[in-house]
Amino acid sequence: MLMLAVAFYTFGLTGAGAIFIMSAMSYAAFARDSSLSHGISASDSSRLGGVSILITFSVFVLLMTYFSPYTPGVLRDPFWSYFWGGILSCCAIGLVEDFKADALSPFIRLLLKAVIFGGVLWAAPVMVPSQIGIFWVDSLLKIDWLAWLLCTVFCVGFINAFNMSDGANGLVPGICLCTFVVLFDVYGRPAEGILVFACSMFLLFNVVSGWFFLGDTGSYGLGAIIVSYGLLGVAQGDFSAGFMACLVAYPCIDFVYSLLRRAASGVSPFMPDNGHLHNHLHSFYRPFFKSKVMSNSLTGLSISGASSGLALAMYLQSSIPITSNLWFWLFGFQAILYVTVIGALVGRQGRKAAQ
Amino acid sequence: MRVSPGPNTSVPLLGQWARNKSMLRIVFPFTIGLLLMMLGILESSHLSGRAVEIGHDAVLERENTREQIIKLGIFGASLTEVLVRRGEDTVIFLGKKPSNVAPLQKDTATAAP
Repeated sequence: MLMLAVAFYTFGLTGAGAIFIMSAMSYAAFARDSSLSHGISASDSSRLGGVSILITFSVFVLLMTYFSPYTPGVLRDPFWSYFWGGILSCCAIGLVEDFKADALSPFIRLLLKAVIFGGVLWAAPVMVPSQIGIFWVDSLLKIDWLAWLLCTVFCVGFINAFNMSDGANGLVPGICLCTFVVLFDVYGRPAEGILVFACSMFLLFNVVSGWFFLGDTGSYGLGAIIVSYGLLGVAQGDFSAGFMACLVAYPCIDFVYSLLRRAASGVSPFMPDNGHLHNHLHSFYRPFFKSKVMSNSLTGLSISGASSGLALAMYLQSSIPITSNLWFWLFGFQAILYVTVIGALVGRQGRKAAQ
Repeated sequence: MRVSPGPNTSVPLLGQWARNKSMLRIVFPFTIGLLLMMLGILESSHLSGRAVEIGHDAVLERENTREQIIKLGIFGASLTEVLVRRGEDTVIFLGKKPSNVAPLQKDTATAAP
């Protein structure tokens, strides 16, 4: 009822409708994960969070197309059909995984994502930036085929990073909401507005109830949306690569740190574990709360707020122009903050274990 | 051995499906959700279209009644307002401006009571 009231107050009938659709999806007996398969969650939940975002988004677009003079970009310009075609293809890979876990091997998934983004960037070279403000990278981006290759590898890596960081209620949805708010403010098109709406409703549902995991559809789809918008925005000069890096700092830093940490301890860098910052922060919060959902949601909101929320706050305050490369300094600060906090939490857990 | 289904198999299956409580738990809120979203979007596009038609830039200042807020919500109304403000530059709401309606004229059909 709380979710319904908040959704109704904020987005009216449309918001209440989205909550009804999400609650319907959460009742589904199929595509469920046990709590044992996730490091943080304490109850069995549906994996269809991403599917519910996809349904809400699609329903909104279809209804707007029928009930208003709005014409979706994919019908107006072939570029947008490549753009959204790539995103929906990534969603499709996630959808297969959500309905039948391990239906595709990790290598096949990686290959499919590489083919999708390779194809999209080949068909729409306007998305490939010619410079990002880092001298040695800019010199590589001057060679067309190398720029295409680097961007394809980056897109695949980013989506995997997004998938890896999806581990607490409200973490990835919070990061996405901050990013979509910025994108809507910069571009002001209905697609970004609908993304803000769908993400807000999912964040509310996810944080309050804890009934949903984002699933592969959500993490692949949302990751693909953000990386596509990010590349396009940087290529067009709408914002700097540093600004985009600050908005999605947590998945990027956590991905690199996790690979280094696993390589240093002699295990495969791609082996999943519970050594992420959100796992440690959740262990820190857990003794303070009786509710199983509260500590989980607080973990996600703390991290998304301190990383993407910080960038969003600075953007709204107009502290630094979004086209400035000074944002790289904030990204550096976020990386130092990450390492400091995870170091302190691991040290604290080590001391408790020793006692 | 392949067993072919009987001629009336679909009818009892449909009945079973309709009586299945777990299925109803999904279908019923889903349908309600679709209807509510349809009403909300219909209302917001109607308001935005009207606002652009009569030359207004914003929805909130004119339509901020309790009924409209319930239909659109606070953020929904603000979002519509932003969309309308940018409607001239993008292809969001290409409201036709009728020649017989003066700009900034109050729309009595949807104005506050």
